[in-house]
Formats: sequence, structure tokens, C-alpha cells
Amino acid sequence: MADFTSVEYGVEWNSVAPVPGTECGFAALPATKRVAVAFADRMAKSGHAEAFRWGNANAWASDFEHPAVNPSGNSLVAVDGVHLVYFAGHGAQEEAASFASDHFGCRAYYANMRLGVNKLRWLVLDLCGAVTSPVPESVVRVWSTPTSGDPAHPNQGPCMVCAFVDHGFPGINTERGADFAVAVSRGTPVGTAWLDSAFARSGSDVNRPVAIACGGTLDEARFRRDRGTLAERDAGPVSSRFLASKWRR
Amino acid sequence: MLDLVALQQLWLSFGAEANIYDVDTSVEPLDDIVELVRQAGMSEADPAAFAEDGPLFEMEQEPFLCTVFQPSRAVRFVDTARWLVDDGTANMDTGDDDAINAAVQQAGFLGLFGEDQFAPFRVTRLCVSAAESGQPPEDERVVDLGVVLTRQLDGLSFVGQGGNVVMYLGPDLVPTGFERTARRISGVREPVSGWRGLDDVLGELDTFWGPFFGGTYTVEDVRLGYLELGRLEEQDVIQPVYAIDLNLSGGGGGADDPTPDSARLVQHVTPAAVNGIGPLMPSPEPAEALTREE
Repeated sequence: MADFTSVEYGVEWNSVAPVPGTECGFAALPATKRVAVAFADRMAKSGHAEAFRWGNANAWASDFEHPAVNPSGNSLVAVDGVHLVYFAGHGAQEEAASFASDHFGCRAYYANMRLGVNKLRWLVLDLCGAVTSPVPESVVRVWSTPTSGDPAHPNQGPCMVCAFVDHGFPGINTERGADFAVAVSRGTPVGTAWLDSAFARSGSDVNRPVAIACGGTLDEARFRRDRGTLAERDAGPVSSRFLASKWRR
Repeated sequence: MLDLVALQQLWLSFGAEANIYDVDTSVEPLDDIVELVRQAGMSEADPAAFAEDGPLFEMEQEPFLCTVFQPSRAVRFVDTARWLVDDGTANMDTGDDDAINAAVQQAGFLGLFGEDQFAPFRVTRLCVSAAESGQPPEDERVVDLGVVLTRQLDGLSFVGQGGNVVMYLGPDLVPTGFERTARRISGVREPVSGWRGLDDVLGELDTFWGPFFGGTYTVEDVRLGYLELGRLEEQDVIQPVYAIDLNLSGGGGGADDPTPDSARLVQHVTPAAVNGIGPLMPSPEPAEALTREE
């Protein structure tokens, strides 16, 4: 049990299908709202500071994209304006998080993200296909660019991105957001908390959570992956020369 | 995908004698935990040594950490120096049978099964890899095994995040941690009076998913089992359910979507007994209206 570190967090979710006329097509997922709200409620109860709680019409793709890559991007003051962000919804395989709101687009493309160049230390993407199998190659292919920094912070990024390999698998087990919030608040390493909270214990398919940590050296990236906690809140943009990942299959 | 004929055949296989059980909510959270964690190596375990924090009781005796989840009385015990940690060199090639044998032996030694029955369900593997920017990644290595043993009752397996023991085994097959989520049952509330038929359940799926998301779905699998929720959830009844895996696709606009959306698997869970207690699925809520300003 480590000393408590209070962080500023934000949560977004998409639980509905896009309205007709939207370019994107995907199904509504009612469970995602419960997952996201449970995360936010538990973070608040644990003493963290909520910066935003945006669902559906108020959850925008532009919140995730960097303005240097996409001029409509607003990441520097949205997701990169807080320490920890949890998004629950749909994902297009190795491409993007999906948003029914269609605010400057219905997809936040990973290639248009430059995460962690401001305040963001940890991003949880509770959606399908942020990483695919085989995992080592997919992590490099998808997550090198979003963690590569911006012109002011080259080769710098967040401490960690948490996601799923292939499918996320929602059902009535909607506690993983709350479980994750409880664990990280108690000082559990962030990657360990995600793998433990999101790993499915039953079902014919399984959730395969993955945690991807950045570091200036191989040892630093591995250490952050296995030991990094919310105490790294003020680490600033960290070197992303190495990516170290772990996942359960 | 299961078509109607396959579903009808599957339904004919359902029908074991089963009951709706009451969970014993009168048990103190730490009732039998202290002895368990002493056996696991925490020699200083004592009820007074557990600190209460929100939904948890925790006790630490380095390198061990024991967590009791009050809503379920689930227990997790880990060696914080080794649990889900890569030592930098390990690469386990243990087969499933050896992993299960080791897990069952260790769980039995610790007394994790209590008076319940468990059966091997799945062997999971914690994998690691790393890469330098612009370079190919390292080959993946397996650094621990997570063996899931599922609770059994009346010949049925449990479904859900609970109803299981998970043994985590390190490179030497020595446990790095374990967890048990198995709520104690106080007795039979009532026997199952009959099983819900296929038409009834398909009707529920159409009602729930059809108008709500506007796409299509296929039924991938259906299992009959007792439902036990995860460690942070309150639950006072254990009842048989149908756990139905659905593959959702389409929905909304998107006919010309340049990035075809991944179909998404979801699980729909519904009481299996005619006299079951439900509904169990999170009900669809009205979508949030736009209230945010630029």
C-alpha cells in the first residue's frame, strides 16, 4: 500500500449508435456507460479530482487528436489536459476510437494522436482492436506514432496506454472501471491494475488486456510497465524511445 | 454462429435439476480469511491487522499483500515482488496439464476450495515484449500462468467474473498470488420450477438489442450456468442463467464507412429459470444530449 497520490482524471464514453447520415457505422453498447461512470464514481470517492465526464453527444473525437496533426484536434486541453483518461466505447481495428457525436469526425485516429506531451500520463482505451494479434508487432505498428511526441516534445509521450488485444468483451460485468480505479488509488502499479481488473475470468471468449509503457531505456520502460504507479503523476512527458508491453492471453 | 436448428438442439441439452440459492450475507468479511493467508505465508495475519479502506480490507506483510473485497468476500493474496512482474529473463513453456496440476495442488494445500467444488477452466499466460523506436520488437516471453478454476454446483459451471479461483504461477510454478471469489451459500431459496424456452429467450434478445442499436447480431454461443458477479459487486442470490455470446455488427449510419467497424462481441445474460430473478442486463439509458460548449 503506497502513499495516496491524487490525480486529475477525465472520462468519456460512447454507448449509442451514430445517427443516420454519419459516416461511421457501429452498434450501440449500453454497458460502456456503466463501465465508464463506475470508473469516474470510484475515482471521485477515492479522492481524485474530476476534470470532465463526457458521454455520447459530449464525447468528441477531436478531444483525442493533436492540433499539429489535425487542425480540429483539441487534445492539448482535453485528454492531454489531465493526468488520467478512461474511454469506453467502440474501436476500429488498429485505426481509431469511434464516436457517435461526429464532432469534427466520428473517429479519433490513433495516427493523429500525440499523447502525453502536455499533462496526460495514462490513457485507458476500453474498446476493441487498439492492439491485435500478434501483439509485439501490433504495438509497434499502432502505438509508436501516438507516443512519438509533437514538435515541442519530440520522442516524448505518456507513461502508459492501457487497452485490449482484439475484442473487448462487454456484458453484465461492468465493474472493471471501478475495480481499476480502486486498485490504482491503492498504489497498485497502473499496468498491473489494468491487467487484473480487465482480465475475464469466464466466457467462451476472453478479454485480453494489454499495458504499453514508455521509457528512455529498455529497463526504464520495463520498470514503468511493472512498477509505475500514480506517483508518477508529475513525471512530465517521458521519453518514448522504448515501448514495453505486457498482456494476458 | 449458431443457427436456429443448432440452438434448438442446444436447448434440448439444457435441463439439469437446479435451484435458486441465497447468498449468506451474514458472514463477516474476514471470517475464514486469516487462517487462509497464514497458510499462504503471512505469519502476522490477524483480524486487527487489516485496514479498512472503502470497499476493501487490506493487510501487508512484505512482500505479501492480502486484499478482501467486502461486497463479495473475495480474497486476493499476492507476492508484490513477483505478481505480474517480469524478471527480465523468464520464458515459461509449461503446458496446460502441468499448469493445472500445479494450480490444483497449490489451491488444495492452501484450502482455497473450502466446501465448494471447482474444475479447471482455462490456463492464461502473461506475456511481455519490448521494442526500441524504429526497431522490430523482441520476441514475446511468457512470465506467468494464470490458471482459472471454475466453481461447480448441481453439475453446472459458474459464469461471470466470480465463481472461481485463479492461481498465478511463476517460472518455477510456485504461486505468485491467488484469488478466490466464491460467495458462501446459506441455502435454497426455491428450486427451479422450469426452464425458459428458446423462443422466450430469442424474443428477449430482439426486444433488448433489436430496436436499440439498429444493426444485426448473430448468436455465437450459449451456456447454462450459475451466475456469480465480480468481487466489487453486491449479490444476494445465485441463480442459473443463460450466458449468450452475441456478435454485433452494423448499426447507425455508415453505409460508406471507409473504416469498416469491427464487429463486437457482447455477452447477454438472462435468468434461465421460469421463476428466475431479473432482469440482469444493464438497461439502455437515454443518450446524453449535447450540453458541452466548444
